[in-house]
Amino acid sequence: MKRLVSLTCLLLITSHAFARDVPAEWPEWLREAMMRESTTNKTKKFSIADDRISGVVKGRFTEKPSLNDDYWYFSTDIKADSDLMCWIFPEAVDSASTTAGIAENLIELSVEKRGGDYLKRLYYQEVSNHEGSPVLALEWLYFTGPEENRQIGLVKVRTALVGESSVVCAHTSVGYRETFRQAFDHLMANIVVQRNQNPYYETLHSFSIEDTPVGFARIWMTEDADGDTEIYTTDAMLMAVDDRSVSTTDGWSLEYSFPNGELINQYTYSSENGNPVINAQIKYEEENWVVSGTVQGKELLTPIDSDIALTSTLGQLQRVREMIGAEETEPVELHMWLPDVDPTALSTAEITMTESDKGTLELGPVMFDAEFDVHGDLKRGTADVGGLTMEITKVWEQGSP
Amino acid sequence: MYRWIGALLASLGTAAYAQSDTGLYLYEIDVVGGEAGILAESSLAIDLLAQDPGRLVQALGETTVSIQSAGVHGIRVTLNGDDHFTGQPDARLTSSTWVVDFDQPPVQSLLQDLRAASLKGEVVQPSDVTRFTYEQIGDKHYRTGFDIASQVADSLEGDCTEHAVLNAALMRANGFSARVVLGVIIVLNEQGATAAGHAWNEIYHDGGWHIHDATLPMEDPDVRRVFYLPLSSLSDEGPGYAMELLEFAFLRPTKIHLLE
Repeated sequence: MKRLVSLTCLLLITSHAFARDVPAEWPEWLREAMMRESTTNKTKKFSIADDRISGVVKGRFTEKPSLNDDYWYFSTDIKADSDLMCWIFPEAVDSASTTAGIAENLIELSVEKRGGDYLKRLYYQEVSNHEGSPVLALEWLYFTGPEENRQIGLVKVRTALVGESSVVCAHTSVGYRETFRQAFDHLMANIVVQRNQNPYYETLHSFSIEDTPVGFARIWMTEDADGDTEIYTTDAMLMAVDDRSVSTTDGWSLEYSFPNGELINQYTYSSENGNPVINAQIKYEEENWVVSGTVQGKELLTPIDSDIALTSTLGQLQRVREMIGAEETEPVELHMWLPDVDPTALSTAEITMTESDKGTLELGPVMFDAEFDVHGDLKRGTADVGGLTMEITKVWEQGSP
Repeated sequence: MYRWIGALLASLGTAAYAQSDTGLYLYEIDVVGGEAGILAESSLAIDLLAQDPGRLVQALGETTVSIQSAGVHGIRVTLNGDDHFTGQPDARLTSSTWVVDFDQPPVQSLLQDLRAASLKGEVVQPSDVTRFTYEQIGDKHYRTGFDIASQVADSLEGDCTEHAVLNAALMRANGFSARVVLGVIIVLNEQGATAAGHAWNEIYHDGGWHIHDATLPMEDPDVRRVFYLPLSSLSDEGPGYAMELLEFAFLRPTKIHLLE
């Protein structure tokens, strides 16, 4: 790898989070290194976790799949200066904190080998969809080694939530960005993960702030033995907080809903930068909603002085569907438990239709301009929050609620 | 569907204060007039462009900030360096709350360290508390959204908001009325001016409210002057504080012009 000393400052100034193209002001040798790519026609099949997960990966194995604690690891030679590394977690892990955590670990490993301090700069961030599997991608430029012998590296990580499993791949050499992306896409196109769940309705929404993709939410709806609906939501966010760092938020929620859309109970877990924030549930006991669990490290056991019917995610779709196409509709208030907003109180969202499938969605001080689909689901929502534009887009669905 | 929208909004609200240098949170700032002149002035006249100037006028009406004029797109104000919210201290501002939870073991442990560090027999002074908070939070970064005091006392990391809530907790535990204030900090140095979303404290002592900023921006040798624009004093210190943080996003000026 080419040595770098005096150019560090230039790179620090001109590298930019979410950049897609190599900045023109970078030196030619580095531009060339950043733009190098490779191809390989070699592929290898693999089958792990008692054949529950199988697939085809590009390249030849340099390390065959092996089980380490709760994940499988393998690496392949994709003719790209360094190996493609992949970790497969049979039980899904938090997408955002895992993506950032693996990238940071790889940088620290590199720094340990070369010595000295290091600087890192966010280079690229992406949220994408692969047939209902949300993918988070993160690329960090890093500068390591002693000042008189400074070196540059580029760590690239992609994490996909595939069914109930997680697939993470990484590559650490400068350049080969498209090579790595194609190798990951190839794996995603050929991986087969057996599911325990068979949802009758699946959705995937992505969201962005100021046109920067920051996260996703995946929802699965499954009918349980009693004819009620189990709703499993998984969400993740990677937010750049400066040009070096990202803040990660991961969460999941399990709701049970009566067929009429009333919530039976709900359990929610969320974490920030890998640290638990909410681990709590709400259920109806003795004519009261009661919240219990841990929030920000504190135990909660709080009755909410209300016996009002709460709307589940299924109910939210039903209410909007009733409004779509109706000649005249009054605004509808939906009462929900949104523990990220307030774990000890109920929250209210108000939906007002302005056209047959368009309207507004108000939550607290924020109002989204919303477009709904035939299922009553949010097709697109945009809100201006203090000069920042937030956008939510439905990017995939399967089945019908 | 809306649970994760709530999570998204809560994250956005808590992230809105980071003194980050990305385009997302950095205020665009224009300096009009001679910088040297501005550095020598004891007060600072600024134009604030805002999404909702009326809301800004209403918020600043509860502070000592002098509003010179208000228009459709913005307002003109004068800052004097120690602008603060008005009103008298009340019992709430010396109480342990969900956010400023000085009754929790991690904060109590730090409190013992603070008292041990102060000179024997002397009363802990507010400036001692602020410096202690600055020194205790050793890992200063922007990744944390808005941790409550006991979390900060445990992790000893974070940005301005973590400094402000821990400082408030230690102040209240020592009997001082303390507010957590959200607003904008304008930093002047020889190279120019920068402005960013910020959090600090207002502490009542010596017969009045005084700004205590536990990030100690004046310790930076490049910094010549600091002005504070208080926009919100956290009133909901309960578990539902995230929405109040989000409301602050609507108060933030979108652009600041410094005037001669």
